[in-house]
Amino acid sequence: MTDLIVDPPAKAGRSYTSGEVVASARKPVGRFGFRFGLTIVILAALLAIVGPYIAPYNPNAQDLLVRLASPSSAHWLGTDELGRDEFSRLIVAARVDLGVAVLAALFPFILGTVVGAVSAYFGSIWDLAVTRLVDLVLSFPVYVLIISLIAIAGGGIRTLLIVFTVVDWVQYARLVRSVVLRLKNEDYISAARLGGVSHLRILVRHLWPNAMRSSLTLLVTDMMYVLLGLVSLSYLGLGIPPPTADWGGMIAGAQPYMQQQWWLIAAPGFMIALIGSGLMLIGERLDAR
Amino acid sequence: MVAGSLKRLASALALLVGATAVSFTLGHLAPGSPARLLLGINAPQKAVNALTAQLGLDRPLWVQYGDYLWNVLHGDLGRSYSSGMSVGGLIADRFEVTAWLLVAGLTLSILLSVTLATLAAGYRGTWVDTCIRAFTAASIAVPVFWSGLLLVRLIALPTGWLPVGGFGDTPLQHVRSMVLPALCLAIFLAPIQVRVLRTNLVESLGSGYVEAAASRGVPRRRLLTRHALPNAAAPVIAIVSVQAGYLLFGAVMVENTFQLPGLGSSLVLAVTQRDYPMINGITLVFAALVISFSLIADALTALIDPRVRVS
Repeated sequence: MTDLIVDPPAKAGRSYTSGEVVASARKPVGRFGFRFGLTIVILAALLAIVGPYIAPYNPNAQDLLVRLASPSSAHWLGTDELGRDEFSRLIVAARVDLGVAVLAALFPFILGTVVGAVSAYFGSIWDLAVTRLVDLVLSFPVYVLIISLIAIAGGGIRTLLIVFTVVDWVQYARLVRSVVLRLKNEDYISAARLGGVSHLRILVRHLWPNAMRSSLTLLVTDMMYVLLGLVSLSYLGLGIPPPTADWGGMIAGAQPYMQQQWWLIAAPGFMIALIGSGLMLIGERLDAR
Repeated sequence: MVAGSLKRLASALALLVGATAVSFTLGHLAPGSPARLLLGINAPQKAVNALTAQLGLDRPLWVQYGDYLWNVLHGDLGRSYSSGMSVGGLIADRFEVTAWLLVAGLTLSILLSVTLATLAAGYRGTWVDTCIRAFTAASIAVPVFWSGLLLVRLIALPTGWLPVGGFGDTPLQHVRSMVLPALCLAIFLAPIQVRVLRTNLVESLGSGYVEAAASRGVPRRRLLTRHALPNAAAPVIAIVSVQAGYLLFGAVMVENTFQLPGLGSSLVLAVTQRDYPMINGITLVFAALVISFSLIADALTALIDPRVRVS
């Protein structure tokens, strides 16, 4: 997912680490870009909240007599291959796709930051084990691993959340670990230790907040990658199970009809790309600070 | 240098063994007994027990893992549940398409990103630069399967020049059927490469040796292509190696979008059929690919950039 964004600890014997390379590619996005991104994401969040209430039709109601109808005043985006109102499905899908994407990014964020901070702070064998595990998970192509795990756990939203968490926490762990390793020998931490502050309190009050800024930036970008991954899995038929409306599944269903009913694949794809760009613009702005 | 290479090779080997462990564990997490799946739900329990013993599935796990490792080393990845054929053989059959797709897509993406980045850096601050940067920024958030469908809808369908999917039977058909998938994969990979390369080019153009060459009267175009570009190339190799996992995901998606008979479409088919030996075999091959990508990238970087060899 965001293995392209995280800074790995620099390795000896290489003049370029991927993190440095990507860091050099980051360009601050202008204020306009940030506001644009923020507007898109806020609107998307609103859509996810109110979508099911404002949808003109039941998104799963089939009307086989009006299959693949062209856009009209009754059906703004026409109907799909089963005669379901495309516009209703489009806006109802926002809750499913965005909801799952946000949770599937939040869970690994929580797990990864906690494991990363604890392992770096206490070091020794704990840290070694975590580092090896992180390396191992990262040696797998993330989505291939996700697909195999889905095969074993069976489909469904709960599986998706578990699988994304299992695979994605390593990025946060690696990031937070590097921050905590850098900070734990700073004077203010030693001073806190000598002052009798407990390990837990040092971790939570002194180290964690420092690691948060970079992790939150990663979280925003990662939400974009998780959203893209989620709709991709749904497109393959391994993500959100039908008949629940979801953008990836909608595109897959409309693929055979794309010569005539091109809007059936254009509209959901446009939603994904728009919201993805919004997250991307926010992430870059956070990153530049 | 030699010690460093050996160390990297050793860690790659360790990762590979780790990958077999993950693949083996995945196989054991899979629901249902393999014997039952092979024989079907109507087979008598006695036959299932017999086959379980015959397959050695009643032995301790570590013995089974040793066995599995031994078999993997000999290219034996088990038998597919759905077809009964050897997984290694099936993968070998499908590997070619995926390999062509990866090579063609990667080559095309590098051509695309070098061209775009050189243009953007050469015309820095002008509308050319702005357009290229806006395009690359926007295309990161575009799902790869969707851009594939757009290519089909906007190029293949109206013109009829290129097939909308499949791999064809003759070499010429193979090449033609690879054009759009490779382009799609390239569009998927290029944005990040363009961004890295452009920034590095701009940095190189501002450095002392380029200024020195410029003061000697080297034309601007030559400065860019002969002086700045080679120095900006090494980070691109690094980014391609970081992208390896991403690249394979792109290949899985593209193969499914264009119905190419490669490993990626086999993987998705195997998942829908719950064909666990096949899933584990492909997962293992993909992991091995990612690990070898990073080894190759390290070697290439050392070849291009003498500073790496020294350190």
